[in-house]
Amino acid sequence: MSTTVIACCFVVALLFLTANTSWLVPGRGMMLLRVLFPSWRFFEELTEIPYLELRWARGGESLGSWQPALRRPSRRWSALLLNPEVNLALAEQSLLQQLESDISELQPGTEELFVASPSYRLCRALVLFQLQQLRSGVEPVRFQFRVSRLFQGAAVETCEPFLVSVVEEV
Amino acid sequence: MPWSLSPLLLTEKLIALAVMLQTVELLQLRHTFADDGIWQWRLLKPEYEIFPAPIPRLLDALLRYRAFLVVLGLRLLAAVAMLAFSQITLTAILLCSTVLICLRWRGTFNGGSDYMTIVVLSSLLVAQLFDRSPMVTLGCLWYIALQSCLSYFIAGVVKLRRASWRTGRALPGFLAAGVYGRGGFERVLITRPILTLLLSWFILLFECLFPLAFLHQSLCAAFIGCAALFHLANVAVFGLNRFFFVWVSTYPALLFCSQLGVGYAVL
Repeated sequence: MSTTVIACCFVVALLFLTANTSWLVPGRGMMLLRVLFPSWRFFEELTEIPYLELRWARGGESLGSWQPALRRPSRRWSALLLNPEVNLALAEQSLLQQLESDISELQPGTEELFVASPSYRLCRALVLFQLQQLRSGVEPVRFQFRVSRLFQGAAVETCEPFLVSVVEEV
Repeated sequence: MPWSLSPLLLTEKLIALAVMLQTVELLQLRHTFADDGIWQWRLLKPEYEIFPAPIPRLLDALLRYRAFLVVLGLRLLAAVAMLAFSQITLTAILLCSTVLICLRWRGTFNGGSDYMTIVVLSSLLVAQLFDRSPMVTLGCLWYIALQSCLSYFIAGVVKLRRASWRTGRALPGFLAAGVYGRGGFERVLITRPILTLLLSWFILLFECLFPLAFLHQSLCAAFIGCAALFHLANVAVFGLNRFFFVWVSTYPALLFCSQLGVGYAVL
């Protein structure tokens, strides 16, 4: 009897965890708690991914050309044990994917409010973080960033921006 | 119940090693979630206000920079201690801190490896809660083994449905889009379509046939050997080191369940 009950519990748990559970926790909450509902659809299909670029200038100079904001980590033998650079790069990519997802869900007329959203502010913090690595000294700089959709494996020239920030000074 | 304790103990030590390495990595990245980093708590905090009243306050106390460093420090100590001792408190600390890390990164920090860490730690916790019941221990081992098997099988089936995988076009795209870019290793593969086609079909067959591992222990050992090599290749090409250690921690359960055979599972 107990064997059957335990077996049934595990089958139910397995079905629960592999089923679509979005009805349990609405929208945002589901996104935050998604680690409790495993998804094993790895490398399913080539898709468009967000691609972040920035340009900047010192003082009164005109803004430079667009350049990739995220640097590629270098391959190291020790990466099997500890690979913080790559895991950071993956987390940054995930941040941009969330930004893209949030933009796609925007209601018409709410675009201007988006700059106050956590996704936009985190993306801006990511740009500022990268800018700190690029610039030297403490003199003020102006900067702008844009995010485009890039098909995985395609050339950067083919991408089209879906978000262009205003020029800011820091 | 020495027959069931041993694989669970091995799982415990392997997941402790995986969590220890994950935590050292996060501590190395602490400047990225500091108050002037990328994932600043003041920017993230409004997202958690959708939860009922006490939860945002609790998260605010645990996830702000200094407090979160303490959480990570505690997690590291618990993981090191778990390498030597078996204690339900240690497992509970690892599980809760993993959930907190995922919340701090708005869902997950490292996707699939976080999912599997939760699967293994929650099963260990249930097994330790009911340590007098061999059936619960067995159920937990089966749960880990089935989730590990499903992770390969589902990933294989969803790929098999895609023409780009069947024709070998998907793999070069993923290689080119990897974090390391089109380095020497990737270029060698990308410029050889026959090789990428063969590799694609090897991956498809390996993943889709993984449930056969439950038929016999020696077959399971062969699948586990291939899986370990597959994960090592993923470390080399995509830098996915976390997946290697977390998935290795599920292999004792897989081997144990394959020894019992499929017939035992449906008893």
